[in-house]
Amino acid sequence: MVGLIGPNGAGKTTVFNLITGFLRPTRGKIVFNDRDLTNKKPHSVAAAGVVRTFQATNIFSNFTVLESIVAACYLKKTVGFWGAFLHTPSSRKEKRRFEERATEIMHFAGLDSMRDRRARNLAYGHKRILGMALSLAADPKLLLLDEPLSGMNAGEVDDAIVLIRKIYERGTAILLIEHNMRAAMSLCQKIVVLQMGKKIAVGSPDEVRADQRVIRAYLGTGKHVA
Amino acid sequence: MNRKRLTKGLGLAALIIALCALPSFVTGVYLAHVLITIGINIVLAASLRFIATSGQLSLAHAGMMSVGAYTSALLAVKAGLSFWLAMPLGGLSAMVLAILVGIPFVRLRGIYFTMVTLFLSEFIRLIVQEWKRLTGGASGILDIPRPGAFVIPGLLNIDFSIKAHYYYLILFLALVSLLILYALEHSRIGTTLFSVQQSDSLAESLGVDTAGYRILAFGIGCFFAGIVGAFYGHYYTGINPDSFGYLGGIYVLMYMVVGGIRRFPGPIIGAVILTVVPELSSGLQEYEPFVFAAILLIIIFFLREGVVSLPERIRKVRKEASLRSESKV
Amino acid sequence: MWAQNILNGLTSGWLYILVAMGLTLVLSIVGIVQLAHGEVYMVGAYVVYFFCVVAGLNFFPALLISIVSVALLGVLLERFFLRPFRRDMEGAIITTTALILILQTGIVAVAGPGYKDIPSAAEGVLIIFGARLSWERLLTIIVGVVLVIALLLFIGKTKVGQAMVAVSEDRDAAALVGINVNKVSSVAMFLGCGLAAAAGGLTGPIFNLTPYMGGFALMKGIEVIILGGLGSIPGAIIGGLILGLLDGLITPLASVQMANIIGLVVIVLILLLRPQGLMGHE
Repeated sequence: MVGLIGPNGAGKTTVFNLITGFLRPTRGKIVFNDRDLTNKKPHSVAAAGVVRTFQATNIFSNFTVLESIVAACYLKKTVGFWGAFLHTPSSRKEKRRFEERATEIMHFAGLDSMRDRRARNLAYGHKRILGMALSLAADPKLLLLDEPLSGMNAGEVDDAIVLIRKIYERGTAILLIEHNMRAAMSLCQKIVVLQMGKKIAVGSPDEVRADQRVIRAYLGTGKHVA
Repeated sequence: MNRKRLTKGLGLAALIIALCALPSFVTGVYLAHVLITIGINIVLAASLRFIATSGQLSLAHAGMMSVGAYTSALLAVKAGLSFWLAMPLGGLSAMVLAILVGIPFVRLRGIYFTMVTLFLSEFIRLIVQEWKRLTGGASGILDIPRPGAFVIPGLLNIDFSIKAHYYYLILFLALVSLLILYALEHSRIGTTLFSVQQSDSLAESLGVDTAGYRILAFGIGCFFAGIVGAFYGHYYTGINPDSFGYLGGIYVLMYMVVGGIRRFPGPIIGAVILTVVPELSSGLQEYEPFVFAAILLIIIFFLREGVVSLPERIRKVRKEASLRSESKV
Repeated sequence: MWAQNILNGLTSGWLYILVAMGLTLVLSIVGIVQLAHGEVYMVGAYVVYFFCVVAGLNFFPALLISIVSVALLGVLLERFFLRPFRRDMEGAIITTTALILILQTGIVAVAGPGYKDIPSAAEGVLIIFGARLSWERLLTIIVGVVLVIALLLFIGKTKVGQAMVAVSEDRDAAALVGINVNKVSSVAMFLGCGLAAAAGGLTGPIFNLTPYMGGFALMKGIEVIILGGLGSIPGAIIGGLILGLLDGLITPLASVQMANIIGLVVIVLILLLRPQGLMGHE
């Protein structure tokens, strides 16, 4: 699990946008597992196994939690357009499969009790968890989490950290943007620090914590670092 | 759960049988014409709603009807093609055009997409008017042949010599169209379209080709507009560019919003109400649009979600009333 | 001969500019898709018709009455029919369509559906370098320019004008700094409808009036806004002039329809390639 930190405006979300195709790079390449993802549309990047979440809460407001995760199973589809349109037995089987998978993911993320609630009616913290659950439904090899803990209270943060660790331990690589330093340091094995679009430090959490350039980036060149 | 479905299914079947039997009980050329117009408007409104499920409000239906009508009419008049071939080709040509312009158009969001579809309708009207050699210009195409007879020896002889035969045709077209649209909406395809409508960035990040789905919805919706346009041409036997002015596209939008955009039956209800009311108030002559406007305003101010939301509104009001009376104890 | 066409183009251009500026004010400050803007223009023309032809006033007093009365009508319409739908585009489309029907039918009921004519405000031609330029059209342009300058001064130099700019950029932020958004909306509607009415009145002597002339004006207004950029006043001026000259120069060469077609194609291309218009931001 790699953390991506840096002061506001450093370009962290921009990195996510570039990797996942929401922005076009002017130079350079993006390679994942020997596949060149540069200039690919976001849905192709997702199909290649790289899924991102969003800094601002982004969910399917009118769907219930169950419907949302079922919809997010899109990449796991086995039946094509005609099968779906004609409601063939295979398409119905696929739907049942999606619903079972969604139930598993809801359980994994702790959203069971909210199964039939409309997504827009969830508490803020649960909405962000739902965002992560949706990305899990797409079965990512690499998950890009964009400030998943932002705006959460202490209890929600603890639950979210547990979930993120569980996702990692299940075998998904994670690239995490977080402002919550405690969370980032405790979750990640490696941290990359960005400032104004440039990489200013890379290393283990301890190394980065002690790095002068990083301290200066966050706190300025004030002389007292208590 | 199953009983509810059964009663719904039986009710629907009964409705369809009643509609099929209608011409035997209800006679009169005028009434037949109104029913046929309702049929046309139902297909238009329902197909427009299908496009809206992907989050796009289209005003291209007028232009697409025109494309369908002219394609079918020209194939029938100039190439001697049978209606039964020309009509589907009319629908297909509208669909192809929709896909072609859809490719650049779906990049636009919200009001910009709606504007560009409005311009498309207007553009089609102007092109049809200018291309005199092909389309007959402002005078249009006349003497469009009736659909070829549909005969089941001994049982049916539908030769389109009476209005009732056109009624059966549009009834058939409407039922098939609604069935197709219903099946699409209640499949994974519909779910994906709704996900694109609610958040296209999220859907895209989950692997959905949002542009592709938008084009799909637009193409299919416009296909039905083309089919109905072809029917229109062979029913009225004459078309001209002004038969399909952009205002018609706005009217279809009205049917959809007045009926209710959130439920499948919404546009059907809206089409019925907004077709019948002008006919009922035709006695008012030039004041008739006032009635139409009044309905629009009543709905938009008091039943914003459309007529189809009336039952649940009533339920809500009743619930609030009963809660209030409980708290008074 | 070319001078004639250019003059015609400039005349149409300034009329488009007036309509487009009015529409841009309503779109970006009131925040509503005002489909009935063309009908406001139409009503403006008919009010001039009534005061000129029926009541026997001179053209300019009639124009002034039309501008003020239609502007006030607009304020009423905004308060009751448009304000509830500020964040509701579908609803705005429905309510403004209802307004289109009401205004059109109202005029038909009062004046009948046929063509009407307003006598010229200025007869005769100005002859410069052999070109015969009608005073009617020159006057239209002059009045148009005066109105636009007045508007620009109002926006630039008054507090309300500046408040309007603020609201057009971010309605919530404007409210947070204490701007009375509702009042500013009313002012914007007043000005926007006044401009439309002015355009309608000025159109009268040049073209015929019909209760259905609004659709064309709305189309042109939208085209100018897209070309020039939504929310941009200088954009509206440039867009209007370009479209006007396009119409003025192509119509005699090909046909009115051809000019409209080319205009539409240009607009669609702009929407696809440079959606912010020639002068727009964001």
